[in-house]
Amino acid sequence: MPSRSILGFTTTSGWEITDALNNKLGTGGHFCVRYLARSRDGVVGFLKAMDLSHAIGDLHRLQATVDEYLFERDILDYCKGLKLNRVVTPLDAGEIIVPSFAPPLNKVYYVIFEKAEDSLRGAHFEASGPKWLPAFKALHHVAIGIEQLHSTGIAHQDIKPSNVLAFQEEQYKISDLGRVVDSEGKSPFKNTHFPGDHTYKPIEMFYGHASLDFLDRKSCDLYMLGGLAYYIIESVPINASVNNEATLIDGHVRRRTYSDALPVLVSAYATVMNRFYDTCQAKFGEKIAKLLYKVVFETCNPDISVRGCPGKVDKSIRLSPRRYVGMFANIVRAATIYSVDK
Amino acid sequence: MAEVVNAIYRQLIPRWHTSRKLELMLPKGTALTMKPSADVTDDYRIAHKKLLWKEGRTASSAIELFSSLILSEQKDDVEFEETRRFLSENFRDKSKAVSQIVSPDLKKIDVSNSYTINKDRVIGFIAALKKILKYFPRDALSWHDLSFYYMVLGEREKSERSMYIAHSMHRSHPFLARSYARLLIHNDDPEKAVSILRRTGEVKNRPELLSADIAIRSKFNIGNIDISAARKLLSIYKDHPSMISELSAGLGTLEVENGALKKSKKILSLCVESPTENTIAQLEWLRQQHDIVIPEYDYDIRSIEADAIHSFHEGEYKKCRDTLMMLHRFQPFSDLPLVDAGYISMFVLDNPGYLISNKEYFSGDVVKSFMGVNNYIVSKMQLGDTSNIDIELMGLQKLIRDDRERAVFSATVGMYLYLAGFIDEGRKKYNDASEYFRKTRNDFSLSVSLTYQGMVEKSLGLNTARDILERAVKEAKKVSESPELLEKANRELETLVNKGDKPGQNTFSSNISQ
Repeated sequence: MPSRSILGFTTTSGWEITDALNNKLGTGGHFCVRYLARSRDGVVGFLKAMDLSHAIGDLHRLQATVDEYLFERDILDYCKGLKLNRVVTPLDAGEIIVPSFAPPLNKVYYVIFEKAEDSLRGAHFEASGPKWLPAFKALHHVAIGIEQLHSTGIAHQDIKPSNVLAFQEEQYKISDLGRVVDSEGKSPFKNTHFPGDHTYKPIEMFYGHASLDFLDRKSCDLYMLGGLAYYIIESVPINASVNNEATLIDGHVRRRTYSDALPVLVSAYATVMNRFYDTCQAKFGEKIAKLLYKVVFETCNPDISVRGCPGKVDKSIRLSPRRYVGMFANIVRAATIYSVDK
Repeated sequence: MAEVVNAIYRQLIPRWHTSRKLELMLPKGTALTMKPSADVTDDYRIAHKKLLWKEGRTASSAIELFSSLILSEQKDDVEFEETRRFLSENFRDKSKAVSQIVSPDLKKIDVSNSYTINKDRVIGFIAALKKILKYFPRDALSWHDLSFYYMVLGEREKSERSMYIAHSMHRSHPFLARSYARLLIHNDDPEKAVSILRRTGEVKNRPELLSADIAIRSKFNIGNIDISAARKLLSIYKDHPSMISELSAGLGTLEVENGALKKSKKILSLCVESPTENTIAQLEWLRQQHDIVIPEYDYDIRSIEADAIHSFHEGEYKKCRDTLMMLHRFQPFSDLPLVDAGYISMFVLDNPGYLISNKEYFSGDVVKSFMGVNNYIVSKMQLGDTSNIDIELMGLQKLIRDDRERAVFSATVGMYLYLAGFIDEGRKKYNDASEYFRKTRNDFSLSVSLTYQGMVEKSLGLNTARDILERAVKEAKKVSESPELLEKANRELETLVNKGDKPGQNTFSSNISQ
């Protein structure tokens, strides 16, 4: 495939493709081949080339893959223009012609991003002794990233450890905008209830409750933010914990509708959150534990009618990430003061 | 008297269990089946996670894959067991949350197999639930469980209040509506129970709600039973036997009562594929009371109540009594099993001492119903213990709910008066009771009342004992469904004959074998 044959090529904008990365394991989204590229002035970037091999022989799929790429490129371009500092935006994008292939398959679309040190998955979950302050900073930066995206009419829909990239000096950004949905309805995923990794989707979706409303998309991001905090501390996706606990109460719960499952989910959630608070208190002390508990409790509540800021009737205010940006800032501050990593 | 094991009519009134003991609704040892759904689109990115796991067997890659396999319900995947074992061996001690998904264990406040009836422990459970509710006031299941434990303590108002809160949060929820209805039956308000079920707005659409509605209406003779809706639901849910088990058993019972035996067997055959514990008890009751045997059903599948019914009808009274004690621990808010166990001990097994030596179950401080307390007082008097009986009788009087209980109270007071030496007054009280039972054609209670009167007169050496016991035998013969009555009356009469019809001992207890 042409996307796998571009090592050594140089883009028209001057990026030389220097190294092929392990494409089996990499992040960067769907159906892409990953490289390192170097610019004329020595900047090393991460190059994501669209791979059409999975779509050959299926025109609809081919078209869909191209549409997804073009949408991601446009969204990235849009975000770049808005200077969103907590979202990974491209350094360059374009196409490379591979002469050894016949048109139209000779065209390889690519995007080049700033090269990250690692992902949150590698930096925290794979680390032998995880550091908590950087992890809290990551959560804070992700919350800011979500707020930045939401304020520009974009819902990310796939917040998970491998989509949070770590840069120098403990700076973190949300990456992979390949599955986003925009408020204007241009996204190829506008009719998909949840385009991201279903392991992290809001729990009500396991019970058939889903909506295409953009506000509910934002609610998904908020849920995944809280879920990320839970995952970082408990080492388990929150959905696995809550669904597991719910199944212990009612062995048939996964066969039930959302309204039938809800009392079981809320009760299971109470048990899970109780355990979560105990873990947080043992690891970080009461002050940080309370803050972490509050963030996760509010953002991951299985009862969608109360998810988000308590007492706020207006759904858009209740589901605003602003509150959680502030709370994570407080957590980082407290973690610095109490030196959680010592 | 034997209201559980020898009920004239039985319906599938919903069971009431706490949210952490829902498995008790099913027969012991029944496994829940979870149908795995194939995730053809790989929405959980499992292929990618498998690559990560194979590339480097780390805790995080194991957790990612294991969690995704759990959530996508692909537990039969080879890597599920592989990652589970890996996490179990390498990681579970490091995180309670990991340990909990690797080796799931439901946290219960009451860890006993059925329910603890120890008052202090139940008070402890209530405190634990209140603590949970302080932090999670929207946890309807904890409100529900709180209601259950309040009822175990006999705190009916607090129990109903807690259930009301739970139900208010999810008005159409079948589990909460059924539990609420069961509570209201216990509080003698079946009309409200029906109203709660109706107000879910789902009675005609949900088999579990319609079965409860039919059971309550049929048992308490309330309004019209929606047979056509039941038939419709049986047809709609025919591929989900566990969902229609109680509905088909209830409807089949109605057909038995109507005499449509062929039709009833056809409907009852629907309930046997995946029966609930309540259905099993119903099938046993139908077999014993109506000789209805469903060929497709394996009668070796047992439930506690079915065992109690079975052993009673087999004449295994000790086993029946012990099983009833288990049944009380299974539904501890209800005194009915204790009333039956008390009746069997005192009357059938001639062993009133059983109630006294198990006073943690039977004493007036523990039991809440009129018949339960009455049994304990009569047992005491049978053993010749009349200490504090006057105070206990005053307490018993407050529990009277209807004319039948008033008549039973009259008989019990009569026994006390006999023993206190007021023979004429005692006789009058017994006669009042007998007259009421005769008028209301309650042959069972009449026979029991006459037997006890005969027993007490016999113990006091009164010449009228023979006449009374002969009348008891005559009345017992009318109650063919309770052969134990005739056995008992005859036994008392025979011991009177054996003693040569001479005056007996001064105490009531002398004639009672312990």
